[in-house]
Amino acid sequence: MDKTVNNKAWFLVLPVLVVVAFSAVIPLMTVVNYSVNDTFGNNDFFWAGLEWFEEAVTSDRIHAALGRQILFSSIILAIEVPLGIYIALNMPKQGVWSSLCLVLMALPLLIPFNVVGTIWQIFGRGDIGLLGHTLAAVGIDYNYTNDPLDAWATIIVMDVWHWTSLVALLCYAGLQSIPNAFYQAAKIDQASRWKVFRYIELPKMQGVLLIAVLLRFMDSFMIYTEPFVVTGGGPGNSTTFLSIDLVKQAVGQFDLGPAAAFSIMYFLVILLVSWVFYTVMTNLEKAEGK
Amino acid sequence: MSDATSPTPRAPWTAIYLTAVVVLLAILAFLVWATPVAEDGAKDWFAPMITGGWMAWTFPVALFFWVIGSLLVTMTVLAIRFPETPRLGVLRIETTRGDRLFISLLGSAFLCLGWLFFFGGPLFWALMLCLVYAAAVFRWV
Amino acid sequence: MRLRGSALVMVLYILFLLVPIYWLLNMSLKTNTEITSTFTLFPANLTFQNYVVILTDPSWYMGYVNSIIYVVLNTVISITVALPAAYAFSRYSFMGDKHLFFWLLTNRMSPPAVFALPFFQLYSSIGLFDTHIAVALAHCLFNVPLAVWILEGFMRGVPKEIDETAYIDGYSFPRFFIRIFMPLVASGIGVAAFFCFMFSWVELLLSRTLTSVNAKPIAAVMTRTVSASGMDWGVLAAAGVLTIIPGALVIWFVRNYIAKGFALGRV
Repeated sequence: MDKTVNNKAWFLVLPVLVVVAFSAVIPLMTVVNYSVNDTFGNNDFFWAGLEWFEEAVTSDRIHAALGRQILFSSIILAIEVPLGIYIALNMPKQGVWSSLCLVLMALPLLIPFNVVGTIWQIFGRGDIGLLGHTLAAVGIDYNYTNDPLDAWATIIVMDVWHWTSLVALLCYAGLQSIPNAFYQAAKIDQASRWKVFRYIELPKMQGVLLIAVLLRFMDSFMIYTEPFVVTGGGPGNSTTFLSIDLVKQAVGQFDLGPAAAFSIMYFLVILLVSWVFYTVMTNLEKAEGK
Repeated sequence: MSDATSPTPRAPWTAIYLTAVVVLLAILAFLVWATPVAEDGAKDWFAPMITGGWMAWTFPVALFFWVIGSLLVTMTVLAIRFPETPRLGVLRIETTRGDRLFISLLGSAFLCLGWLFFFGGPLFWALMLCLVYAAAVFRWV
Repeated sequence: MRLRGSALVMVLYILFLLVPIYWLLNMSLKTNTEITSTFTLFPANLTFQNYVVILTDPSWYMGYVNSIIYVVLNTVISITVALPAAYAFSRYSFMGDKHLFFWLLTNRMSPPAVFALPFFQLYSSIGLFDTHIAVALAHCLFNVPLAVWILEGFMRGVPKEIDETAYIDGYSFPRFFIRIFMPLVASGIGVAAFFCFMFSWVELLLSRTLTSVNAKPIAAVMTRTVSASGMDWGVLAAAGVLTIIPGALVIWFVRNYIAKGFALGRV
């Protein structure tokens, strides 16, 4: 749609600007301030310069957390995106079944994060959980509170359980926009199932797929609640992701300076990734508009 | 000030530039004034500006935000005077002046962090590198 | 043949989604002795005792009350400020609109962990710590951008001619907006409110950091029980089931719009 140029529109945006400035700009400024100061409490600050940043960029602890975080996000994307597409392709196209599927699939998305954690915490326990009990019954030694590998597996399965539906629903929405004539043409050309997918369905899903990847990447990159409830970051530090590590330092130990420096670096990474995705997305829209 | 080709009435650009510069300088002066004075009478540039304030403002951080704020004001004034036209750069993406400013700032932040990681210590040369980088971004991206 | 294959895939997937939820429900209907001593797929002695505990113990049910208060506050604030902004984004292009939109989006993407500490300091210093409004304002950080994003998508679908006709008919902007435009995007407002409600309802980190006693949300009450020794699994499961209910109810009411919300790709 053509938009009218009108700089008075700023007045309509003003309320949002005020609210978001209050809840985003002031805290960010505070973080920058804290990152160059040291404190012993009571709002008594001493200049520390770049000390905390030097400490943070060379800290093995943060490197390890970052490594775990990237590994986790990659695994999540590698599983959820193909699985989500596969599920979307198999969903009924219309009728009662389609709306039933929609509602049932949306259910996990709307469960509070901590309850998702609670569900899987209970579900995976060897003594009272169905999953843990079944695995023990078939003779698999599984204990997510002691074994790092099991803890990872639990958290990944939990995230797949929680979020695959989002990818599937987005792709489903993309698939719905393909006119039936396309499929008929493909049928006349006797195109294989793979070719239909590759040349008709995938290009149509491109836009929503990008959004799905963006949302899944961002949300897994800042995941906090679910692993915190299930494993608390353990065993040891094996599931301590960036957010968990940061919260431990900031709210747990109240180390303002180091936590603030860490926060800024974390935020910069997020900003970079958001920008890359946003640029790709707008350029894609422009290419489609042409 | 060649407004001959422009259909809009002649805007008082000199006055606008002057007002912007005066306001920004006034804020800077206020920041310097607000910096506490140490016992020997010299300015203590690194002491908290508000004793016991929870935000812990100090002059260097305030200066940092002042610079960013000034850049934004400059860009806004420029955008009103000479409307931005997007162009395709070496990254094959369309960028306007505002986008290039953002790329420069974000890139500079990562350059500084990288400098700290490899060399540590004062960031003077890293800042020089950032300036070169920003110039390159504005020229080619 | 192919149809049967996809039906099988869907059944398996939905089973995978529902079994853990069933297990939670199952546990909430068992007594604690049954949970820990025997392993049963169905509750042997059906009991509602766990729910009774939650609904009669103030430290439990006040958690729900607190959560609902700040979630409603947040939804109202978010939608109110987002409506005019979304209209501006969908109708006009103005200086810096793309940058502003991007900046709003980064707030949706930024990790709450980064903001937890400064929020704590900010609200403590202005005396709002442990109040509902503090949590509601903090959640605006990600809900306002989200609401703007969703509403903008819906408003873009309303033809511009409607605005123009209304202005010609002599409507002032506020009257046009409330009397004509808002009913047109009612479904969009519903979807946006739904997602604001949901994301505020599920958020744990900020609401836990910003409250201690008076405004303690249910999510924080639940994690406290987890860390305590001698876990009361039945009550915990019952609390979990009760926390799912608002979402399940709301999803039922907006089920026809959800697909549309997803179609816009804006969640």
